[in-house]
Amino acid sequence: MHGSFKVETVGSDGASVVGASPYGRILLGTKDEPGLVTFEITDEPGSWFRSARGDAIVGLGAGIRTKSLEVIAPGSSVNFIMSDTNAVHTISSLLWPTGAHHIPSNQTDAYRGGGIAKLDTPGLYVFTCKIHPYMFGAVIVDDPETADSNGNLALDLGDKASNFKIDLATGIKGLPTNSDLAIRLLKTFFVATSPGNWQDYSSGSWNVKFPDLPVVISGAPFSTVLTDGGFTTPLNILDIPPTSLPTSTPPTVKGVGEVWVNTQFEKTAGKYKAGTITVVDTTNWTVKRKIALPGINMNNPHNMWPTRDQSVIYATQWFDNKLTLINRENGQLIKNIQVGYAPSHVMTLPSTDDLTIAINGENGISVMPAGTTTVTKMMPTQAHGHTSASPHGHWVSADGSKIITPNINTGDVGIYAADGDIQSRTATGQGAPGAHPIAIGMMPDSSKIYATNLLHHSLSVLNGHTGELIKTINLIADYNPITGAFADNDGNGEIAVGVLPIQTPVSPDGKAVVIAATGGQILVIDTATDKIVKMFGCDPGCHGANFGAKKDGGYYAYVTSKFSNRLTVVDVDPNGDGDLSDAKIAGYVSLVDNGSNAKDDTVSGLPGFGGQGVLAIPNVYNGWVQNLPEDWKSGLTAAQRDPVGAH
Amino acid sequence: MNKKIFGLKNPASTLTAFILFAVTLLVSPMVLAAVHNFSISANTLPNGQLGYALGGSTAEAVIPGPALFVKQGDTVQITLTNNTAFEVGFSVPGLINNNTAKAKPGQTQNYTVHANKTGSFVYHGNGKELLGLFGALIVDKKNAPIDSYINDDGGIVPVTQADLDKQFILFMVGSTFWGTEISGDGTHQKPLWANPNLGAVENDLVRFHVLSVGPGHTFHLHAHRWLKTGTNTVIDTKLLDVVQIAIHLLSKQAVASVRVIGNIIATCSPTWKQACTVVSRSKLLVVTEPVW
Repeated sequence: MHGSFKVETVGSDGASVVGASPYGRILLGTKDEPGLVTFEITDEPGSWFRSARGDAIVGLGAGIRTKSLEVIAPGSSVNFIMSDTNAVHTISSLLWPTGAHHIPSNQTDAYRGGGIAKLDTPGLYVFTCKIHPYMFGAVIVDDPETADSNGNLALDLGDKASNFKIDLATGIKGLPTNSDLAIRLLKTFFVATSPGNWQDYSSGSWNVKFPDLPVVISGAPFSTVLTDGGFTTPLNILDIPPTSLPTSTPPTVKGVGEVWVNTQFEKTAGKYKAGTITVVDTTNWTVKRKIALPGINMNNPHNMWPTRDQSVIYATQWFDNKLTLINRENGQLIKNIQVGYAPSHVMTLPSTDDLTIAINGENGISVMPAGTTTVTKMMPTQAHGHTSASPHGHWVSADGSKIITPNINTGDVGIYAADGDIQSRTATGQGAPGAHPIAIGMMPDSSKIYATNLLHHSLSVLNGHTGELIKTINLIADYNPITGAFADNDGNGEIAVGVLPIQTPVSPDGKAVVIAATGGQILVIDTATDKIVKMFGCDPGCHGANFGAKKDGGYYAYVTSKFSNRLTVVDVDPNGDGDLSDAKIAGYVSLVDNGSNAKDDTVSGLPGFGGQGVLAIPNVYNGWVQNLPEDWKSGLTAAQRDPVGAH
Repeated sequence: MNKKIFGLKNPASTLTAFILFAVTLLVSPMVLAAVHNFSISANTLPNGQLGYALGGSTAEAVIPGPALFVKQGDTVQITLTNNTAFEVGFSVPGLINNNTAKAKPGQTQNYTVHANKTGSFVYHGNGKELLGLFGALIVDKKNAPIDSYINDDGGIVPVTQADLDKQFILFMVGSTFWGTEISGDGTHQKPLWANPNLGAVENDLVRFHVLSVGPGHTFHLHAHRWLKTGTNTVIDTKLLDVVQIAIHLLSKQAVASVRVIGNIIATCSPTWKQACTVVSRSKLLVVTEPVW
C-alpha cells in the first residue's frame, strides 16, 4: 500500500494529488490522466495473471491469444490483486527495461494480497511468482512517439535511451531484445499464457500465433548488430504456421503397473478449478482412469507419492492449501486435508512410511505419520528468524534418514534429518541472484545429490552426506544467447542444452540422471562422470520426470510437459548393458480421455494438458521397492527388487 | 482546491438525494428518522475493473463507490442496476440488510438497509468486490456532535459536521489504497483513485474513514524492510488479519498528534511524506517512505 498524507503550512492550497485512474492513459483509456491497469491473480491455466479486461483483449483479434498482456503510457501504473486464487504468491519482476525506475518488484515472503507499481520507463516488464514460476503477466509501457513505417503505434520492448535492452532477475543486465535469449523469453511468455498456442496432439495440428502488432527491439532479430534508434518488426514474424503433429506411438516394450500423471491444467464440467490425475496402464499404454474429484473442487494437483503398500496415493494441490488422499484401486477420494499454503511435493520416508510435504508457500516440511490423516508438525527449513526457504521439489534418502530440499527463496539446497534437525544449507547457482533451485534427485546409495537451478540453467552436484558442493554443470554452455547457435562449447562430445531445467530424478540403479527442461529438452547425465551424454527434444513446458520399471528388466523415465498432452517415455539403456550411449525416446502415450476410460467427471477443456508431477506404480526406487507387497514385487525382476544390491 | 462533483449525469434523482440530505441536516434533532433513496448502477470501467456509479448508466463509475452519508436510525433504499457482465449485489456487513440476492447482468434489484448503528461501513457487490465494487456508508449520530478528537493538552473536543474542512475515504484492497476526497459537508466527492497523495493545510480538521476489503490483507512497504514482530527476521511483507474494518480518525494541527476515538488508538505526526497505516484492529503504525 503506498500513499502519503502531506500537511502544508497555512496559505498553501493543501491539494491532494490524484493517483492512478482506470480511465487514464492506458491502451483505449478515455482520459488524459495517470492510468491504471489491473491484473487478477488466478489459478486458471495460462491466465494466472489475467487482465481485468482480459476477455476484451483477446476479443480485439489481431492475433492476441493471451489475457496476460497490458499496454500503458509512461507514468501509468500496474495493479495486481489476488482475487481468484486459493494459494499465496509473490509478484516478482522477471525482466524489465534496462534503466527502469521503481523496479524490480519483489517480496521476502509469499502472501495473499496485491501489488502496485508505477512504471515510467518505456519497455517490456514481465512479472512472475516465485512459488509458481510459470505464472506470467506482462506490461508494455509504450512511448507514444514510436511508430512503425506506416505510422502505426509500435510497442517499445525497451527504452530507446538504453538501446531497447532488458535486465533479467537472474543478474543478466543489458540483454539486447533482438538476442536469441530475449526472443526465447518472449516466446515462452506467449506460449505459456495462451492455451491456443499449446500442442494438442489429439487435434493433430499445432500453430503458434503471436500478436500482429509492431514492436521496437534493439536490432534485427538474432543479429549481433544493434540498430540505432531501434528496429521495428511485427511480432508475428515468430508465428509457427499450422504444423501437423504425429500420432503418439507407444514403446514396444511394456512397462510394469501404472503411471499416474498430474494433468494439472485439464478442465472438467463439474468443478471451477483446473486439474485432473490421469492414470496410464503401462501394459497396454492406454489411459485407464481420469480423476477430477469435482466434489472437493480439486485445484491444480501437482505431485504425488504412494503409501508403502501402493493402496493410497497422496496428491498436493499446489494452487491451494490441501493434501488429497486417493484410493489407488478405484480413484475415489479418501480424505482432503488442509496443510499449509501451496504444498508442492510429497514423499514418504521409506523407513517409516511417514509422509513429508514441502510447504512451498511457507517455510517448512510438514509431517503426517504413516496411516494417519493428521499433520503433526511442520519442520522449519530455516533457523528461527531467518528468511523463509520456500522449499519446492524435495527428495528423501533411501534409508529415510535425510530430507533434501531445494529452497527457492534462499537459493540453496538444505539437508535435514528426518526429525527436522537442520544439517546443512549449501548455496547453489554460483552466486547468481534468483538461481531458483527447484528439484532434487539422489543416488540410490545417497552418495550424491543432484539439484536443478531453474533460472540459472544449471545442475548442482552435492555430497549426499555433508551437502558440500562437488560441482555445478552448466546446462547452457553449448548455447550462444545472442545468435541462438548450439555448438559443443564445453567439449564433452555432445551438443546438449537444458534451458530452464526442472525435475531431475536418478534412475533406481544409480546409472543416469534424467532432466526435464521446460525450454523443451530432455537431458541424460551419466552419474559416473557427471557429464551430459544425450539430449532429446521435449514438448513445450517440459516439466516432470520419474522412473518406473520396464517389463523384464531396466527402467523407463516418464516425462511430462505442461503445454502438450502426451507423455514421453525415455529409455536411458535399452539393451541393459550399463552403457548409456543407446539412450533413446522409447515412445509417447496420449493423455487424452479416450472415451472408454473410467472417470468421475467429464472433460470440458484443455484435454490432457498440464503434465507436471508423474509417478510410476509400483514405486521402484531403492529403499521403497524393498517394502512392496509381494503381489507387486512378483512383477519385478530380482535386480529391480534390489537395485543396488549384489546380483 | 478543486472541488469536482461526482458523476452528476442525472441531476433529477441526485438532486432528490441532496435535498434529503439537506433536510436531514437543517431540521431540529427531534425529527423522525429519514428514508434515503439512492439509484446506483454497477458499471465496467475502461481497464476492465467494476465500480458503482450514482445515477443511470451514463453516470461515471468511481472506485471507491460514491460515499453515502446518513444518520443513525435512517433507512437506506438502494435501487441497483447491473450494467456489468457478472452478477452483482449490494451488501453492508454490520448493518441489517433485507435482501441478499444479486442482480444478473442487465437486471435491477432493490435493497433496504437499516442504519441502526453509527460508524463507517463497507458496502460491496457480494462477489467481485476486489475488482472495485465497494464504497463507504457513513452513519453518524442523529444529534451533533458526530465525532471528537483529543487536543494537545489531552482535552476531548467535540466536532460537528460543520466543523469539518475535508474528509477522506481510504480503502485498502490487496496492497493498494483507493481514495476519495470529500468536502466537509459530504456533498462534493472527488475520486483520488489508486495510491493518491492526500493533502491538507495546517490546522485543518480532517476526517479519515479507513476501510478494507478482502480477506488476509497485506501490508507491503515498497523498498523498505522492517523487523518481524518479536524476531530478528527482516521482512517487507506482512499478512494482516483485518477484514472490513473501518476507523474514523480526525486530525487537527499539522505537527501535533492524531488521536482517534473508538476502536483505534493511534499516534501519527503528519510531517512530510508520512503514511498512517492500519496494521490491526487496535493499533495504528506510522511509517515513513521515500517519494518515488
